[in-house]
Amino acid sequence: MRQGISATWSFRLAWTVLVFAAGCLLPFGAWADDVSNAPQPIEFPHDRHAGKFGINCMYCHTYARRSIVAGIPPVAKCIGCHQHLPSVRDKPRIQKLFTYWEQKKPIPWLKVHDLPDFVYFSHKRHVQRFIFKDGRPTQQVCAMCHGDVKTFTVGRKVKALTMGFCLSCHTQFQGESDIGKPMPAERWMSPVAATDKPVMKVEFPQPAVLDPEHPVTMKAAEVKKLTDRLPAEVRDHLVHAPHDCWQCHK
Amino acid sequence: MALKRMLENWSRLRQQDYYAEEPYMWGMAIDLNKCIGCGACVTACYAENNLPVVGKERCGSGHSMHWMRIERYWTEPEGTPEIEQEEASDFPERGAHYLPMMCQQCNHAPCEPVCPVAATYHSPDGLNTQVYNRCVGSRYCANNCPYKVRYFNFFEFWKDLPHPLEMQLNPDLSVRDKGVMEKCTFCVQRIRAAKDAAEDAGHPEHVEDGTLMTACQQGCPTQAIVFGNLKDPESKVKKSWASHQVELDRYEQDKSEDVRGYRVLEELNTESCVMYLDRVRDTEA
Repeated sequence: MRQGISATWSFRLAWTVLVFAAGCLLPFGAWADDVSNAPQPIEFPHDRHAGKFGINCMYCHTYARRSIVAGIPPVAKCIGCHQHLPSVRDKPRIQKLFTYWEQKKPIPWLKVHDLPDFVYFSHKRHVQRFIFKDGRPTQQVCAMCHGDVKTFTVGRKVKALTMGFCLSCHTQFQGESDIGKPMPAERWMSPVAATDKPVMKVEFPQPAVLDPEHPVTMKAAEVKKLTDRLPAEVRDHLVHAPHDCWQCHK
Repeated sequence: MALKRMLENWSRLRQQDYYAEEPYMWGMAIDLNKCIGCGACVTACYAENNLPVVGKERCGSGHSMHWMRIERYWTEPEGTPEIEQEEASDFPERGAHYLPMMCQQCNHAPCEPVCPVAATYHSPDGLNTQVYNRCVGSRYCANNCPYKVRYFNFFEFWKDLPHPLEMQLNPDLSVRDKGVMEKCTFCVQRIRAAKDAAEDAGHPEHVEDGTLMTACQQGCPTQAIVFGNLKDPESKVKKSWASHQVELDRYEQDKSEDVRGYRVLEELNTESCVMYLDRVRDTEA
């Protein structure tokens, strides 16, 4: 009997420790597939290019505004500037860059922000809407998913980029808009969520047959009814959140 | 839980006008008079949709993977003198009759209510969706499909691709892994791209008729397949449906004798979005 009690107590203690440890690790779950320490062929200093010199993200990632992928620049794009910059020519990174150029080889960059193959994400739609239509600063818009890149050297995955992460914006802005208000810093600088809403609490949407009331599964017509009440200048800038699994899953 | 909610919402979603205000209802019309059974549509589908070529043995054991197939029917015409003369030729008329069969994108789909995880459900565009990452592989949907157009990945077929061939896979849709059901999607990746282009052009609710083609339609040498938006009164497919007096939301078409349009297994009230135009043979000539 006595032995039984002590076994129960040690069991409880073990559980407590386990739950506590799991709770401590939970916030770090988002970084489970982080490849930030993966060695890139060249330690590209985003902080110098985007931060110190303020080069627009889309100067190098040209495809972001017209394609579903943002793309990485060809070596020619790097050389295009760097052949006119003799001051940094002797640095080991630049020497390595010119080695690739002389060998006529592409730089084997590692993909840091890699979504699963069954996910359809269009850079174009987001860039066109936030940068060109809303006129927000480019670095803030990119930072919503990519973090504050101008403080990095090589790109790192700092946001979770899970389905809940996508929905932390897409459910929040269904039927309302914050256009005209300044973007709160935590939305684009906080490492976890695109919004100030914690990712963990986001309810995953169900197809309409399971939950016709969920804003994400709402019919376009119902969303329209909801948004028609808004003033025109707000309505024109609404986020069209998906209401159908097939809009993002392929 | 999921089943309970599904049953609760089923009747509501099955109202005829539930998706009435949506801008799109994708449909197809296939003219069997024009179909020569060449199989170009099937080949185009394989290339577009990352379908594995499983080979004769696996086909024999029921593991075939073809979202589109050509069904052959043999109806020998009534004997007339001309036909009998033709028997002497090297290519006698045997009455071959082809029917390209793919997912009919039923509006009352038998596959949908039986899915335990709602991996297949109806999209507001009238498409019968298949969400691969949701699918758990119960295969109930395939068993409930009257057209037998759902295919199950019994193996990891993509592993069979020799090295450079994985480069030809279409990146616009996923490569399905073992244990996942799949079927014709009406080339949803092309629909998505067309909607994207329409949004860029400034009319997000209207995809121009003719700018969007499915792979099978594009591959068809005789243009037997017409695909488009049934909600658009100016679309080619809608005109074809109207001229053959086939309508949605009807299980028995009220039409005149001389029109050729029909939907396969219409009496099951599956409300499919694919209309076939019956083949007419002139046996008198």
